[in-house]
Amino acid sequence: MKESIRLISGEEISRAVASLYAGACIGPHQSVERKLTGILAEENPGPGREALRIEINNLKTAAETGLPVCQDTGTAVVFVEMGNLVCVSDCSLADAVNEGISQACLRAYLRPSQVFPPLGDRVNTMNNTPAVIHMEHVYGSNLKISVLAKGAGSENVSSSVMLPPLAGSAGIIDLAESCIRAGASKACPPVIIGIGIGGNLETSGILAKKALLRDMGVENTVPELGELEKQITDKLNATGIGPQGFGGKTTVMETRILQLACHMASLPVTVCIECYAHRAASCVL
Amino acid sequence: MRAVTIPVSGQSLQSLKAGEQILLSGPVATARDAAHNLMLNTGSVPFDIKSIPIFYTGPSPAPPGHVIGACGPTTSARMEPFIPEMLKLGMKVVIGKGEMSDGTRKLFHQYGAVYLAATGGAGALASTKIKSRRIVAWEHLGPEAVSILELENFPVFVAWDLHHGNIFRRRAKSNDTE
Repeated sequence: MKESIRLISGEEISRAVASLYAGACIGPHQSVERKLTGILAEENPGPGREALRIEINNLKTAAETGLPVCQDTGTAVVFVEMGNLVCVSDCSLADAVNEGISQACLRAYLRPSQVFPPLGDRVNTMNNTPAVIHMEHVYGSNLKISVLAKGAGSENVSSSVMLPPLAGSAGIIDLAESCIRAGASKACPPVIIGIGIGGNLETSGILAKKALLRDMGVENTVPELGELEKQITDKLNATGIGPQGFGGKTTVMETRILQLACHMASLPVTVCIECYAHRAASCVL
Repeated sequence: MRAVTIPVSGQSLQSLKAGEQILLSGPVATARDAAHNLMLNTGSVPFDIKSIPIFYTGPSPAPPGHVIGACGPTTSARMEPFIPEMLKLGMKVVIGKGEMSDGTRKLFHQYGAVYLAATGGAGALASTKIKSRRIVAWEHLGPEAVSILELENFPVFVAWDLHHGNIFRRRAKSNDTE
């Protein structure tokens, strides 16, 4: 069967990216709100529970007022799955994505947080570009775009490590535990933990980010990884660190793992910590 | 919930207890990494550090009809290198988020300063508790400029009080090896 090329304009992509990014930053965030409401019902009295209430009210306030959930509207991390038949007609994909991020930043009053150069003057680019773009070429004629507004508070307590090849699940659990014990209170818990296992130095990080995109409540398609996720979540909730680090039953809402093949001499792992608000959105063009 | 007015009197400061939620009203000064760097390098603090709390935040831009955009706390631990100097200058109240080191906690105690934790990632709600914003220095820093915010019933938690109380140590004891 002969398939024809599908042309998509840069403008259409920019429009979609702008709407996803602003929507992710502002809301509504119904699945997160539902999850937090469930956690609140289980929480013991104390400042942790009161902080949870504030988190839930904040999500509602953002959706009602149109203000961003958090002043840190993040680094815009954009995942694109591009069908082999799709052709961006009039510009590069990166230019179209960055134009969308810039439009959202300026029109939805998001905070520009990108600075350049990273050493020295660190001048703000004033439109929150450049975005971090991960592209995957897939079969078909669709263009799927997912945008994650990734705040620095949680990113700063994440970690990429090259573990010994036979460190196994115990090595993964230890790494997640050290990130949470050292940094959870700075990452606006209850957090989501994205873990990328395998690949190499750079792909384990991308994998961990991508793992965060899984919808709330959806199980891992690999049963063994689902088990490991549950083990990590339960173990880290037993720390009692709790919402905002104020003490409580829930420090981790969910753990989400993706894996890739890796070199026989390595076990690359990234643990990516995501704040309670988890600002993500996606669409298919 | 207790209402506390800025400037916080010595007596009021003494009465705060870690874990307690209070509603704060009055002026605070915003400053984060770049502003702290400038304050200490230029030797000029553009507000009265002895009476005005420092709020570690970099707000998002104000949409039309709003005084300010989202304005929650940023991670306090990043400001730790600047804290000894700020305490020497008379800083008494800090608003931020997340745990800081034990060394910093001891310094707070030594200088009679209190650490208040606002709810991280709750910037939209925080915005509704801010009545005005006036930039007082380094406007070119954009979100990192130093500004004076007028708070009204702004919810914060007492993280470190003057009596060794620590909100970050209210954990389940059974499985905590720390």
